[in-house]
Amino acid sequence: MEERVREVMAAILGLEEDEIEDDTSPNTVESWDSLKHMNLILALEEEFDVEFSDDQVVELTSYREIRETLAELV
Amino acid sequence: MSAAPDARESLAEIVAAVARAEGSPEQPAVSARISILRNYTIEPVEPFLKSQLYRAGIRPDVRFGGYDTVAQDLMDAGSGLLEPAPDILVLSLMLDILEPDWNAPGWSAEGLRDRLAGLWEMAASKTDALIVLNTFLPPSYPAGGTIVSRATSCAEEQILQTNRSVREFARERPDRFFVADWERLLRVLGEQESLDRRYWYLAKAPFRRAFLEAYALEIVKLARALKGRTKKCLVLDCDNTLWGGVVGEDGLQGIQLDRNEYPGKAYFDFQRSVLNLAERGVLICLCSKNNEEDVWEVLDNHPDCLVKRSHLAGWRVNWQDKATGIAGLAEELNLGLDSFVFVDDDPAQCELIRQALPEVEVLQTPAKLYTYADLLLRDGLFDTLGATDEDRQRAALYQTEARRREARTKFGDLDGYLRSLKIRADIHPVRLEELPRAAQLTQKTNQFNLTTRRYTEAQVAAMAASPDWSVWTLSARDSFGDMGLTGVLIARRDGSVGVIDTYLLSCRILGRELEYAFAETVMSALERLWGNSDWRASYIATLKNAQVAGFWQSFGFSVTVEDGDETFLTVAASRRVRYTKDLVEISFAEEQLWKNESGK
Repeated sequence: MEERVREVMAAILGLEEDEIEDDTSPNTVESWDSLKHMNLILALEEEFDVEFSDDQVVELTSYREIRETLAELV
Repeated sequence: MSAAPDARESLAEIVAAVARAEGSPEQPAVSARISILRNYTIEPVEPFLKSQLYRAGIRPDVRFGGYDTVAQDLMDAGSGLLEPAPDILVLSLMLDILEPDWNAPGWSAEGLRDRLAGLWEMAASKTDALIVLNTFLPPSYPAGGTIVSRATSCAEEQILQTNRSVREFARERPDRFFVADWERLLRVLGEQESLDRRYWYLAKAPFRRAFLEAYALEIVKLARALKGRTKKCLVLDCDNTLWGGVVGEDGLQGIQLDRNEYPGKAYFDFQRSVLNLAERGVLICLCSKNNEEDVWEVLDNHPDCLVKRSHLAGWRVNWQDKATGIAGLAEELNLGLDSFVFVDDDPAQCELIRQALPEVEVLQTPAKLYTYADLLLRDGLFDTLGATDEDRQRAALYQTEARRREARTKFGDLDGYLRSLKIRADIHPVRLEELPRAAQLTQKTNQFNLTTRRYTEAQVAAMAASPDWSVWTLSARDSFGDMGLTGVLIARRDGSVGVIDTYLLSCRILGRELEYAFAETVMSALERLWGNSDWRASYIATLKNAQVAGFWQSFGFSVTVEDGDETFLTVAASRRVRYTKDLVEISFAEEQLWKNESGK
């Protein structure tokens, strides 16, 4: 699963997969703005066939949080 | 070029593919500039819009206006949204932002309709672009409940009525306004697929992927039509495509083709959609490995076969490979392979064509036969900005052309043959009723087109009305039939120089010297009218128009400057080579010309 999360994040945010670390977040990635964040959430939902809650949508702002939340949902 | 019917790229793949395409040094020669003015978060449409444009062979140049600043964006010349001029201006408006109280008791849409009309008129006055409007989404659950019959004053009725007025407005101004009909998209896709209420509340981003893709497609269809990327010719296999089964084995009675009963009805409905395309001017051809008599037996004698021989512009019914067949049809019809769509049930044949003729759009008969009727309509590959009389008669025009080719083989020399055709050309300044066709020709003509400048109807009308511009049309007929309005020349006066802005002829009338007769007639008329001392013209090279690279030289023009793809040429009017052959009888409406002149 981690591999697929990285792939999606890399594609949406325009990063290399090995640049993505646990604390990769909007604070460390300049391109991660609110529109990219929306695309990221939608792409992850599509990839893992899940739907995040309204709270999760707002809170999932680092690779670690995304990974941990997905682990619970999938 | 075409993906397998049911393959769906993920959003991540689409975003990555668009980023790669945008970063690539190789870009399509054609680009479309699209400005989207909106009052909500529409940016999620961007990857779908761009990926579809690239797929259509168009380089996307997409800009978004500020959030809910539509009127300001229209008035601000420095916003970069209207200057440089966009090809398409999308006004994308959510009702809830326009009218937050739309669901309150007693709300009336009257004020809204007035505001919209004002906004549309303002947009039309600020740009020559095609303007895309949208209808509004009616509520899922009417406030007054659903079991009582609703008053016309309820919000749902008010919205539906507003939608009708949006469509009506666009219908009355078909040269400027188009509707991306959200109400229809919602009906086709359903709310589950269309709306994301979570993101609507969180970020004012109301739409899900399916809706965004469908909305993008509506815009892309316009871009395709405007940029000459519309498909023009449909080539159909026969067995298991036009009907079910194999006619050579199953016989006329054994094949599946029936106006009532499935599975024959699926093929019948498909044929109906083929005929509807033919009515809109799409050329229909057959390419089938079959005995010709077997196929004619079905077309001529099957009671439920809608496609008849008279609908066909050409056919290759033989045992040759289909790539050769389709290439032959392209040559015969004088059309580029990139305006062809091919339908076949056999995956091997589909793959063969994709490999051998990558420009051809290949569609495979769907495994789910019950979805077949929509195959040709879903992607709008053949959509044009408007159908003209020429469109509706096109198959007949091409059949006449085939008879002309037969006649030609009887004559040894070309001039003798051309005289025998008794060609008559009708040349005059563009008339009001010809504007749609003239604009359409600028949008669709790729091969005999010196500058490939695409114009909307409004732009052609503006040029025709200007005292410094002159727009001419050519209509031709011969002893075999009427070829319709098939040539446009646009010139303007720049001091003592006449500048030829656009010169194009439909490829199906080439080879009759009309290309020379038309230019000669107009240039000598303008020389009398303008008294210009010189002519200037240019040739802008595209992938399609190499055949006209040396055209102006035949009138004595010489090259002054070459700038990238554009070659500038000039000649003194007194030294211009005159075309004097009398192979074409010309009827020339000069009186109209003087009328235009005195009207300025």
